[in-house]
Amino acid sequence: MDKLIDIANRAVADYGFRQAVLYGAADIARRWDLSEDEAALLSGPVLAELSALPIPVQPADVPAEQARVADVIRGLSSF
Amino acid sequence: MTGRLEDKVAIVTGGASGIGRAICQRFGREGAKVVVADRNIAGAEETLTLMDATPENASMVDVNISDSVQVERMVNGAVTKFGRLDILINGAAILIRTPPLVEVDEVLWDLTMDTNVKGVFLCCKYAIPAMTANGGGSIVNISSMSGVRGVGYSVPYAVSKAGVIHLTTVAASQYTSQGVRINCIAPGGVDTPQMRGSTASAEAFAGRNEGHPMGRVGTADEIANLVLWLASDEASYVSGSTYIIDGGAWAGAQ
Repeated sequence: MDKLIDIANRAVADYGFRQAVLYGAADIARRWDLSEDEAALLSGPVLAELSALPIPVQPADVPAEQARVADVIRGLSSF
Repeated sequence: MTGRLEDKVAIVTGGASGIGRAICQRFGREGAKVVVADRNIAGAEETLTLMDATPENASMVDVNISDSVQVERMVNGAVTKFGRLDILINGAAILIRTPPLVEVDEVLWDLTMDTNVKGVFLCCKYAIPAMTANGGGSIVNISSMSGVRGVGYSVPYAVSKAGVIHLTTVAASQYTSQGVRINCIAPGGVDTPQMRGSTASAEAFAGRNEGHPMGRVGTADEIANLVLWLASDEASYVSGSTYIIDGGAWAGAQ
């Protein structure tokens, strides 16, 4: 879960990295050595969260957005 | 002037947005048959719509350019559908902001190099034989002023774009004699979704205009104009060159 949150945090803070995730989730999952379950979360609900972010997330909003997406991931991972 | 690429067949990687999309649209207006290549399928479909494309003059392909199997399939698909390949525009790239070199994560370095350098290498590797089989062609690689200057906001991006410039030089030295002209452009700031997204805030983006000799960054259409010329037969004596297109910003900085 920590690796998934790390990916999400980067994607919130950097639009270029976000695009790499949005259009290459499987590649990102491989590079971060995610488990099958984590990869499925990334390419499903986490991608949906990242797709809905503003472009770019304003610097002042980054910590709050990262915390919100991390909470979503923790919630998903608890199932 | 229209018809400058009449009946030419072109692959444009990164055609789903920004500079790549502008190139696709311009090439379409100039009579080329265009393959819009990107991983962003929704964006590629939108490009086709903006081009008023028909199946006879354009198509799209979902491709990860760092995967040789997919790149070979892309090139073979273009040749199968349109009968030849005349032009390759290597526009696909990623820009991930990084801290200074010592703090750059290896995974971000690899990710950037795989797309921005290996991707261009693979596209050239598979496109050049398709071009030489038909008498030659033209390749235009999209680098960046980040590959010329020591721009600090992304170490891997800057180095990758410098790599694209030198890949152009080396490839041109090897294939110009076989009829394949290979050139490169290095745009400065251009108003694209990528640039807006990678600039920290709207205020910071506005600041880029204010600090520019022309009072503005470039447009994707202005970049497409140069790419069109390099791709066309009008540039028949041009190969192995890199063209800075930044509205005088680099000249003013020296």
